[in-house]
Amino acid sequence: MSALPWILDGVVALLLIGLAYRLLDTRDLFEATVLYIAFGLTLSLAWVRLGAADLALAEAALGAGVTGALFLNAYQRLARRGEGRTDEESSGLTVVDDRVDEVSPAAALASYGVWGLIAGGLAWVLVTLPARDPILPVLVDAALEDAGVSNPITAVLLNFRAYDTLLEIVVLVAAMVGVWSLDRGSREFARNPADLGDEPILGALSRLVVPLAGLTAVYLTWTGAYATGGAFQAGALAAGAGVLLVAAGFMRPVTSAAPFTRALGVLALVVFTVVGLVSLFWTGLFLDYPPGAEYGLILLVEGALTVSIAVILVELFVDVPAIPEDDPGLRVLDPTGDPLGRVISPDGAFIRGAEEE
Amino acid sequence: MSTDLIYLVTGAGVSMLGFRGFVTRAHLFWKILGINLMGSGIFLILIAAPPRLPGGEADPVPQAMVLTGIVVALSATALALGVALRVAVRTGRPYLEEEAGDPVDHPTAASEIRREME
Repeated sequence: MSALPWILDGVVALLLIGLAYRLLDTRDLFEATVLYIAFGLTLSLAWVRLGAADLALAEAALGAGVTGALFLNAYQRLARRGEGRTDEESSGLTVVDDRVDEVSPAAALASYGVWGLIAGGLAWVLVTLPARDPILPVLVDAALEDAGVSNPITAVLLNFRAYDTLLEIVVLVAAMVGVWSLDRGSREFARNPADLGDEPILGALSRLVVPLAGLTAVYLTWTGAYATGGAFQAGALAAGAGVLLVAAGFMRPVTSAAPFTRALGVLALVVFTVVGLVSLFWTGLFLDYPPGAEYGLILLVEGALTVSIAVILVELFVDVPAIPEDDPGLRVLDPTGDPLGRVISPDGAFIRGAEEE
Repeated sequence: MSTDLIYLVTGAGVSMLGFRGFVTRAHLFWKILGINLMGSGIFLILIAAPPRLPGGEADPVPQAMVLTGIVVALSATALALGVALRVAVRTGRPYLEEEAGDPVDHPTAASEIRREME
């Protein structure tokens, strides 16, 4: 056995630990954000080494890509709050306020000691777990013939444990509604496409990458039935393309008010529930697909999932960072940054909207 | 097998580093980063702990669970960032009230409107 895999795994493991330590220890938010993206990419290498290609795809697109974009965006909003203010006023926004986050070196050392002990104990328990034969994969293999798809992961996600996936899309829709209720949607990205001439790289890159990403998303949705791929990875890729389109100004960000966005966002939830109800009447069990129709139904749900996941993720990206005070148009509507649209008078009392309290 | 062991230990280390960051850092963004890292470490443990299939692939059941987990973690992160930014707008700083220890009068959205109106 050659030493190469050992070296590779060792480097990836050390990188993961080192990046995690540094990004939580640094006092500069921008550095932490960039390191977090690097952590996500390194983690996707670890997934490849662990034989989990589906996770590597999802991690690279979601964990590193979309989450990184979310953090960078939020960072920028915080940084903008600090513009034009004194160091004292803006301290604690994007650079840690030492008075708040200050820890003496002795205390830091002690806390790392304690946490190190806990981590060591956890690692010891995990490493000394008795070896056993696979149980679940055998069950999955035995039932795979009736699942309608030959990719075991897709079979688990959309057939054996379809409830999980149904509830997951509920979580996504809930997050979207939650983010919408925090503000009214950003106009920050409403950039004039004509301005793209100033940014040749962004424009050219989007023109190249977006069609490719769209094609790959369709391919991944289709191939998920029998090989690596599936709705999550495809939706994540499509969302990445959407984020690029919005950031480059090719696509106007749709706000929560757009009925079309709402419809696409809940599409998967509706389709999934209808499929579940149909199978309830057909076979007597919720989400127990009628024999023979499994493949078609799974493909239908996967397609809807891809669309909805992509739309929801783009919405989360567009809506999260909005701070109304940055936008003169929204400031009139929402001068206090209050999600309920209440207006605060100079002495701090509510002028409008207080009756609803 | 050895690969799995390395990543088991890594998962334990990363999740505890994340947990420590979540507990000890006051800035809300670092708390969110910490929770995310904690989740990533636990995902690593979930995939590395069960025995592999004969072909070398990871167990499909935890893979499906982690895939779900990555997406749920992302949506929770988005919501948490939205809330953290809202806290920053209302109080002037991205800190929880009890942890802020605020000696300076930081400008909030309301106080700025006040200043403009005067």
